[in-house]
Amino acid sequence: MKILAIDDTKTLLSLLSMTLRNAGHEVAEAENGEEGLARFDQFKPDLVITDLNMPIMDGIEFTRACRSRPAGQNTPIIVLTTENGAEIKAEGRRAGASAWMVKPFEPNTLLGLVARYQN
Amino acid sequence: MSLQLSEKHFTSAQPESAARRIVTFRVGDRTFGIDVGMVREIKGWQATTPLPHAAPHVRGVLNLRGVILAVYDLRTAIGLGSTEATATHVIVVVDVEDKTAGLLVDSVSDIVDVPVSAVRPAPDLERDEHGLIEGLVLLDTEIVALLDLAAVIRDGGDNQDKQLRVA
Amino acid sequence: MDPLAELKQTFFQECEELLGALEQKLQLLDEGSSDPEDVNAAFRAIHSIKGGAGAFGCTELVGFAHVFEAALDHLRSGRVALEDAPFTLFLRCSDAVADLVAAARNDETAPVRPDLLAALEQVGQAKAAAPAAPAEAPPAPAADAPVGIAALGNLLAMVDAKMGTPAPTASAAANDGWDDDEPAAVASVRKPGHDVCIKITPEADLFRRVIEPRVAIGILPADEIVSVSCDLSHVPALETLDVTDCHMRFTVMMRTELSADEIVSKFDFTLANEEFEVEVLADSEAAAEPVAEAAPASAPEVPQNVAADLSAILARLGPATDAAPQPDIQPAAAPVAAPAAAAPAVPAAPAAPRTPARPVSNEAAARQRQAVSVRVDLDRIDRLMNLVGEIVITQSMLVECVRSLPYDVYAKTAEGILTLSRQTRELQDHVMAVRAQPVKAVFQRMPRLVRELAQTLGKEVKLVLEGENTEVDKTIIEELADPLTHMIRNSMDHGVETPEERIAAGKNPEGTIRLIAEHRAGRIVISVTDDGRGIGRDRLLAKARSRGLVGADEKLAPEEIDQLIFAAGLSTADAVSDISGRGVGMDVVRRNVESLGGRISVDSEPGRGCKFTLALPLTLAVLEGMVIRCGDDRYVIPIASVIETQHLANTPIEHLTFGQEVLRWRGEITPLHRLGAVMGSAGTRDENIIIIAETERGGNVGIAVDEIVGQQQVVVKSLESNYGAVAGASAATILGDGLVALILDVDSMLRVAASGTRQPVPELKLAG
Repeated sequence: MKILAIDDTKTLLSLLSMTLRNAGHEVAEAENGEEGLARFDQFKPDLVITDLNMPIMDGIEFTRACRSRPAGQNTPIIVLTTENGAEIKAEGRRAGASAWMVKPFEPNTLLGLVARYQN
Repeated sequence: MSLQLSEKHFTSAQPESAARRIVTFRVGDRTFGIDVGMVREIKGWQATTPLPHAAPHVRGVLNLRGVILAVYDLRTAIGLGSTEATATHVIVVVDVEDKTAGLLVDSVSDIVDVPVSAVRPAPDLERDEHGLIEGLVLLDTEIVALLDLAAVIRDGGDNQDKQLRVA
Repeated sequence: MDPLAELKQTFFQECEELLGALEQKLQLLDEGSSDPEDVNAAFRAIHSIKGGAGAFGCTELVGFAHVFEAALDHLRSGRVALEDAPFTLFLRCSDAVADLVAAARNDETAPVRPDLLAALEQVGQAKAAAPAAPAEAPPAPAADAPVGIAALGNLLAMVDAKMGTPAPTASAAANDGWDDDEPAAVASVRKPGHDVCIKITPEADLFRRVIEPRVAIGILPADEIVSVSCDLSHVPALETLDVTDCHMRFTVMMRTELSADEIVSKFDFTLANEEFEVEVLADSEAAAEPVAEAAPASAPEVPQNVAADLSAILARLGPATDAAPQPDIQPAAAPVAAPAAAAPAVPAAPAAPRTPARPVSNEAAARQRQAVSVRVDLDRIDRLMNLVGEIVITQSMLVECVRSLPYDVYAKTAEGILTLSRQTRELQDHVMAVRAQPVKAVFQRMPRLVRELAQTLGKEVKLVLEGENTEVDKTIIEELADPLTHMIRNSMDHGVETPEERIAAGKNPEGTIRLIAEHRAGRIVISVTDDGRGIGRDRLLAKARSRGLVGADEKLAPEEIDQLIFAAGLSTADAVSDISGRGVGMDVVRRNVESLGGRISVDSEPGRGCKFTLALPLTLAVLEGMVIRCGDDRYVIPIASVIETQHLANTPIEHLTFGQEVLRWRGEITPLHRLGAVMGSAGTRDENIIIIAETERGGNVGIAVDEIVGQQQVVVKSLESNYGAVAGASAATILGDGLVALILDVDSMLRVAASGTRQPVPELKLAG
């Protein structure tokens, strides 16, 4: 599966893509929402995993922007964040986030969730 | 008053691929630099509480939003005596190893990008004598001595009577 | 930090709790408990450890836990009767699991215990599988199963196992290591667990969030789903239908061992809390296994909350109260039973049956407690505590500002400030309460200590714990383990006699040690009481005399002799024992306790036993301090150290030849130190005030200062986190004007006065 991973923390981003690549996914990386949108258009991922708090464009704005373009309306977006508040989660859902996972992530949990979207 | 440094201030200036971003500051007529990544914030001088029997370059401790950190006088560390601190002096708050510390300097001058290739190793003489600088950068108008902060904090108290010669 | 490593740490923390629970339940069972919930809890604990260990690849731990779990499962299923179960073996196994966890935590290879494994495998071999005795081993209600990482690891394992493999059958894969290997025989008759009804009412924007119902529901283990039905009645008329809106509602029926919380955590990834509802239905199996067999599919077609709840409660009551009607999980039958069970909730019914009332309300209360507790990262609480500390500082700063206002303005402001002070203090108390932890964390380690020591010493000892839920601040919890271990070692070694001696003395061959915690006068008081021989006063006194601690002709009261146990270098054992020894005596324990602002004392009755009492403050995060000034500098001296203050003018000072000043205080020659000189304070000093302070060794010292500024509660801030140890000070605090003041440590200050050496700059750890 083609997965776009977005996170402004380099180490987390590498860990994330490493986890996904090891599971046989093709991964593109971006370090903020804006870069994420650009990568989204070129890479045309089947799934997006994004961080929430990022400079320039955060995860919510990214999700909203993604949902507002035709190609982005059918791509599952998993938010991977340390935030776990009901309000921010609701905002995420309103923006169009498909799933919400709280960091630190357990690789198998993430892969399990990703695999749900596989077919 | 304090100035919070964050990436946002610099997004316009794109660094070249192999460049170091250096914060430069002055003590007397000397210019020193450290990597911007080590700088947590820059704040105006604020009174410190002296610590008993501490090394000469330890000015004392201060309260930074509930965290207590030690302030080191760079002037003392390079052997130029103690800084007569006034409101115009500046404390550069840095992260060194796993600790946060303050560095008392006269003023902060600039943030510059220098190619890694422009950093020269410190001349042997300096290293032997003081071991406080890790390299020199030649800018158009001046020479910037890049500080080895851990060494400044650790050994800066030994240079009370010596002078640090930079080029 | 590597997030995986972080997560692993969380798992190990959970392991501690789980191990504690495991040990405690096994202990209860060993002491004769026949509560099936104790068996279940023990089983769940080891099961969770195994699950988490699997997720983190701790193979040895998984292997051992697996065999252990299988053995405990025999108890759970009733194949081995409780009275035949080898609980001593199980307790030793729980110690072994603790060792394996510790090894895994430190990345060490763990000792494999083939002896224990072999013994475990014997469990259940002797007795042929008898049909399950339902009264003894109903399946776990699982409502209180841990929903932490360990449990998550378990779930994952299950999800993973099912993923990608086409339609797994009901019998679980035999050797996936950490799956629920339920015996196939049981599974084919009646799947274990409980019936769960999940109602999913998605928001209209479900599809726009790119969530397919298939994906959301697919997160559940496929073979545990009994049925999925879709309710289309909310689809609007064609004219107003927006096909991108989701109008479908789903009802999923499942038969599972997952708890409601575990299921909620699965849906939590994709659905909002308002979008689904998980309901555990009547636990039919608990009371009436054979009857239930036919029921599950047909049972709760139309789940009625009240009826289902009632039948669930009744089902739980079933084994406990004979009078309760056999629960029938068909909702239709429930209303018949309703009046009886509902009665306790109606205050107007005085005839409410007493018997069922208690279990019901206990259960309900327990559930309620569970529902409202959350797991919070300690870091967050620390940050909160810091912030409260900031507020305390800001508030005292305000007080200082207000003082300089003209009177009329002052009067108006003062009232507000007073209210603020009170609220701040209250806030602080509440945050402290959040940080508080039960002493259980430390107490839990003691049974093992006692077991092992008893074996080494050839003694029989029963340890009784009381007040484990007494709470103290976590700063104190961390400091408790050492003195407690020491006190218990001392009782085991010197107090309790061997069984032969005890029989000869007409006592029960088994000795008892009581470890009791309680709150008293704003402190935590912990006592260790044994029923052993008491302190051997003659021997102790003789030893003290031979060491010159007590003069040859000096007469001591019995209680005074007992206190000698805290004197340096006195041990009553003839040979230095490696039990209470370890080169550390009770004198060190006392010094450590006192440096925390605590006290330790001993009471002994010859032939009857001995009691150590430890009293500690409830926190180390704040302390009551006296703010003093010396030259230009201010310091805080803990009130606990101050005995009294007086004017220099009233105190005659004498100079000894070598420059040491002394004063006479209460007839004693007391050394005097000038704080400004010791601490190198700047500015001119008049040193008019003398503070008489107490040292750790019980002596007194005079400290000359310029002025006493005030007395206030101060927030203790570490100097070491960003600098290093400062001679003369234990920590620092922030005063009302935002400046830092050092908190003096009297003993450390005296050492500075004695040496007068310059302190080296603390070494910074250099990264490699």
